[in-house]
Amino acid sequence: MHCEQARQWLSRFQDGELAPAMHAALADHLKICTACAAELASLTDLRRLVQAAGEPEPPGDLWERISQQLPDPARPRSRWRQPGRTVVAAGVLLVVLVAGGLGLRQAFHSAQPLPAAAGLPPAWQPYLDSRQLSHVGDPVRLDQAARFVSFRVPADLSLPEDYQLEDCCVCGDGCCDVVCCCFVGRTDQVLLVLCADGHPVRTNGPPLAQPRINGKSVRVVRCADRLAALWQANGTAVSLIGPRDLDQLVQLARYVDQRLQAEP
Amino acid sequence: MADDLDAMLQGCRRHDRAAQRQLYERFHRTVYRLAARLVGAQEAADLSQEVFLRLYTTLDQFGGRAAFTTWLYRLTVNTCLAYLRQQARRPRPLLADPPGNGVGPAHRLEQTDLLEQALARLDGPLRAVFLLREVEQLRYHEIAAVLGIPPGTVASQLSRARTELQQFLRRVEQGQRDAL
Repeated sequence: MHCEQARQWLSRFQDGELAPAMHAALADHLKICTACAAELASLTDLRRLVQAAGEPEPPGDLWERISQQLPDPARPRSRWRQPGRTVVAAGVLLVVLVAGGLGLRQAFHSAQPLPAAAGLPPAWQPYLDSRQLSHVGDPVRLDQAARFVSFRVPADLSLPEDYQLEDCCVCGDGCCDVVCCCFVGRTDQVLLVLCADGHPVRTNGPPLAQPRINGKSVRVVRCADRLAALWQANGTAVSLIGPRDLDQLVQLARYVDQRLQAEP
Repeated sequence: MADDLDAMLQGCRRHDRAAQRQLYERFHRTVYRLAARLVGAQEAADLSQEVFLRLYTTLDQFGGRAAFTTWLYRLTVNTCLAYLRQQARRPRPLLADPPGNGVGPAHRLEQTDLLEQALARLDGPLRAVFLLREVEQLRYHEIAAVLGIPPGTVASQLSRARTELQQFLRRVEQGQRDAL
């Protein structure tokens, strides 16, 4: 056996992952080659270093921190994941797909509801797995969402006081990470979707309207029986879906835009 | 043991707080250990918290086809790698060079620091492969299942990770020798 071959096998030899015949051949080589034996000793030193480093101790209050974040078992499950609440769920898909701009939207019907707890259709899973996006559709706290995406997410992002933040999750749209926040009002729900600025946005046909808010153009498109507003704000591409009324949509979009612009 | 785990998982699916606590007690050291080595001790608690919250909320997605530990390792590794990818997009200070000329014996690194510095030089995916093997003692086919890559790729990535770590440790050793 040549040393070159032996070196290629050393790592697997150390792990006991070589076939018996290869293992025996390398063992024979190591008896007569001091250079390769020294290389194996170096690998053993590395293993000793890992063992000597010991086991890090988790903080004692970790469970308390986790349990504080867990939803109350008595509380009903999130409204936008319940069956029948498909309009906003469809909105997530539509906007994510529109914002994605990768042609993936042809693969899924825009009225497809989000499966409970899964966040996105199972058909996306292999693709998302390939991107190692384990957090697809998983709920996150708004103030933690920024840790998982490349764009600004204001920790105090809100809508007017009639609306309460119900859910926030980080999704992948096949190209970029997306933050979806669902706000629940007295009579309706609004979904706010944030992704990276400059993300290609494609819509079916011309927009229904292009009002200006805070000096910038906003595209208004139809989303099932709701309206959606799409625009860019301070490094973030924003989509706001939910209202049926154009004036209400523009009013909410203006409010969100001001919050985003206020971010340093 | 398996029945015990099944009962725990069923309890977690019902959002039973006692079952969630039991599952945490059983696996939190594993999650924290891996997270601490993957992202560093400073972020390990936050990311472990993130892993368990995701675990409880996405447990319905665990179909039981793979071992639960494989699924948990995957969740932990993916959460940490997502964090590392995010950090890589942000400007950050360069890691200090390994100790070289002018570094005396008094500055010799403790084993833990040395390991952390060495691991920090590996790309996230290589670090994950190395830790799953050396710390978690998984076999190649188990690592392949966790990471969703072929066992042959595990072997080659592991060899590459070890070579890079050896090179770093040799530079440290040389620096310390020169300083004496």
